[in-house]
Amino acid sequence: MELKKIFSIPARFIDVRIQFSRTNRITLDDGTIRELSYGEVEGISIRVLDKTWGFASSNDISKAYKLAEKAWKVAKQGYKKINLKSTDIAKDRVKVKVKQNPFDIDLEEKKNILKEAEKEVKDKKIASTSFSYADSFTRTIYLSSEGSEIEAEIIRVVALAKVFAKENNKLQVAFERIGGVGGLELIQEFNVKALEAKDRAIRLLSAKSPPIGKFRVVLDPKLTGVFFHEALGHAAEADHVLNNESILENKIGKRIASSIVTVYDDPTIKNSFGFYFYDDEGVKARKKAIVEKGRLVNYLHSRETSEALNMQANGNARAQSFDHVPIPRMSNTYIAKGDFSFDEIIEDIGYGVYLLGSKGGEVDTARGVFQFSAEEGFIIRKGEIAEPIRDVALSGSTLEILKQIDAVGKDFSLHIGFCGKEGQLVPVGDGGAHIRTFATVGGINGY
Amino acid sequence: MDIEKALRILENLVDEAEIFYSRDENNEVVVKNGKIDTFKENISRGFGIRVIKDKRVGFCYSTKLNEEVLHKAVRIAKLSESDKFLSLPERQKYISKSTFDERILDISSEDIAKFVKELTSACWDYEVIPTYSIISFGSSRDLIYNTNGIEGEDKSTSIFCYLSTVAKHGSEVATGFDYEISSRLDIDFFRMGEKAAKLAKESLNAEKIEVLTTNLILKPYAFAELIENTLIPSLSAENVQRGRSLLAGKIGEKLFSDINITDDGILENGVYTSKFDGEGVARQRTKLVEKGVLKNYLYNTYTANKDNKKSTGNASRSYSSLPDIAPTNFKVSGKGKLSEEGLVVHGLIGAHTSNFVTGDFSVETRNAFLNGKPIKKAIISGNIYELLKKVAGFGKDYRQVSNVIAPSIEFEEIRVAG
Repeated sequence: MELKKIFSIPARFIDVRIQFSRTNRITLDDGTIRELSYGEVEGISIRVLDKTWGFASSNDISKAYKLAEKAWKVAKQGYKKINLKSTDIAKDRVKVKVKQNPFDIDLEEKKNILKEAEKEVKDKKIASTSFSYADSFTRTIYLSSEGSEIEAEIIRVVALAKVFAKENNKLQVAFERIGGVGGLELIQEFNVKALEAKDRAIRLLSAKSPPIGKFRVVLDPKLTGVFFHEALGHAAEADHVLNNESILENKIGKRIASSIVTVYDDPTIKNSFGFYFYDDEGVKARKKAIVEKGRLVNYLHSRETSEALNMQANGNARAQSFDHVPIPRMSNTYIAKGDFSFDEIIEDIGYGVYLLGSKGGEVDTARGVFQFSAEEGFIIRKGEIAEPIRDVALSGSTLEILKQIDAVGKDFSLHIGFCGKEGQLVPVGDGGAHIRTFATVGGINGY
Repeated sequence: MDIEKALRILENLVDEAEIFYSRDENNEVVVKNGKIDTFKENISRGFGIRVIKDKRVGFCYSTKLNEEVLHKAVRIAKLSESDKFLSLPERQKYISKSTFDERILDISSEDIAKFVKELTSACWDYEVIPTYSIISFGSSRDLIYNTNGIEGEDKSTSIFCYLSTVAKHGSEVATGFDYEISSRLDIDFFRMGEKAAKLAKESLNAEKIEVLTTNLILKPYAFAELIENTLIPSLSAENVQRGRSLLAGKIGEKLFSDINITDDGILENGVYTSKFDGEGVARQRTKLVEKGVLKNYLYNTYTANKDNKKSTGNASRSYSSLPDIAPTNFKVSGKGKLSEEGLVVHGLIGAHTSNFVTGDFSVETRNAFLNGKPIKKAIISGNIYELLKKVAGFGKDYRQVSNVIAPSIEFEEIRVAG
């Protein structure tokens, strides 16, 4: 058939991804259903390597060969030296196991999950709410000219609570998200999450602006996860390293963090948001350390970057969907737990800032400067948690802060998020334990 | 199945129905360290089917149009909840259209090689590495049909380029960038390369600063990043009506310095100019803020029905989503000149983490210069509603960054931490 013919093109390497996906979405705004929707998307992409990468995608699978010819034509035009690390040829069919398959459960029942949460947060201080639910089924077929044939089926569910609180002329918002790769069993606790969002939104109404300047800071596991994701993870993506865009260039084997810091990237964690069986180049997913006891031991690779840096391909080439090119990305990134209790972490801080949750962040990997915002915070005074603060952002230099981490907690949790890079959004998990370090804190009315 | 046939089927099943179709053809070239890395070509198309039955809405989207999808949309509507403000717009008279520049369709691989050479050659001249750049261009065709008589077709082109650069001096590293977007093939790639190279070079030998108060000059790119994540969400009628905006109930009040803000969906050759919005309502020019006084919000049909007003033609969507509200070409202007002193900021890091409800922000800067000298890092913190009361002057360097068209804008006395 058509597909076999593609591999008769005499290019150095060709791979094909065919994807079929189905999605249900529900949104409940201020108690009334705002959106009920269902969608189906199918498409194909073909990547051809010759003098450079040529890539073509379309929603019309029947025109596969024509697409391949297009990709082949442009791939012949470059002059960049690109080689791929050789990896195992995989012939596999894999499927996520789910307890409560969302595609077997009717819309009414899913609607009720949101309705229940909405009832839970009713309060005179709550001005507006938005609860949303989405599930998706994705079947991806991966074929390569080297002989790999992988068919993977992933089911994913996610639910989001967005709660707005109002008092006098003040307005605040808080979010909580829950979900993963699996079935509805993963969002059982949505009510609890909705309540957390409500409580935080109300707390933020009376929270003060944070101080401005350099302080001792303690990050909760959620923010710790985002910190390692933003500040370290992105700089460890091997395409940045090869591209003169990473402060971790030439640092393999070198000490970049305090010796109590070990960081992993692991796409194999069951039910996690960053889970996958194979990456989008057909390389089997695996757990790997990025930092081991303070030393940088690995970058996150595609086949191209691992060949260029003469390292092992480690299965981190990911694409948002069939119509995007796989590039080095994180999966679930976290710091391994340490041995400090929370009390031990804060007890000798005279004055500092405790930061919780994340509103996202951004990093300049070349200079190693990052910024991220916490959902809320507290002042730490004489070893104790004091008044709440809001709209607090952290910024700093990655390498300085990594070296100044002097405590890692013994607690552990993983949180879900979406990571954006080069216009592609992929689901990830971030997390770890409480950590203590130094950073610049910015607020709005600094004192 | 064609759209008209699908609409005839739906007409018999529901009260109102709409089919939105879009087809995008996009080309992208990724250049790393000055060499072309990937040529990418995407063709994406799909149908969005929205139906209303007994004031209940159902929505289905698919890359294929068939009877099954139509029936699914009808079934979903039955499970939904009634909302008396739901309706589809009536037939419209269109007064504008998207720009369609044939030259963008004719860009050949030789042209691309030439663009890349222009983009990167200035960098090499300045001994700066053009680490990553992307040139993306293409065309799109939108069709909208509904059972109230709307029939629209619009075709557009666009081209966009982003370039990031790295300058090194000993162990010191500085970065630079530039960005251009246009509906026509009028980007000067050589000049972009030159600007991004100069910016990186001039950012070398940066110094540390302490906490200080200074005038702040946001260059167009930085201003666009900030305003998109703070003020713009609060201008959406949806957020206003649901009590999620601090601008609720403020129409007619003087809130800011003498600035003007217009959402201009009919601006000639504007990147976001088109014939109609995501539900077929004619694009228009809407005055949002005049000399600091709030004049209007951005509406789609649903929110306009709630306020008993007319939609401002700001429904925004793709085939796979219901119409939401978004600006078109969001122009910010005013009088007064820029001073020579203060903190000049070219870009921001983490603008998307701003509080879109309260307008509070605390962001790190990209390429910041204090009284002309580069600085290592500076976190700027404030509140957009307060910031817009302290506007001290406008530059003449108007440019479009995403939806926002603005020049460099100066603000009085902002707190900055190094």
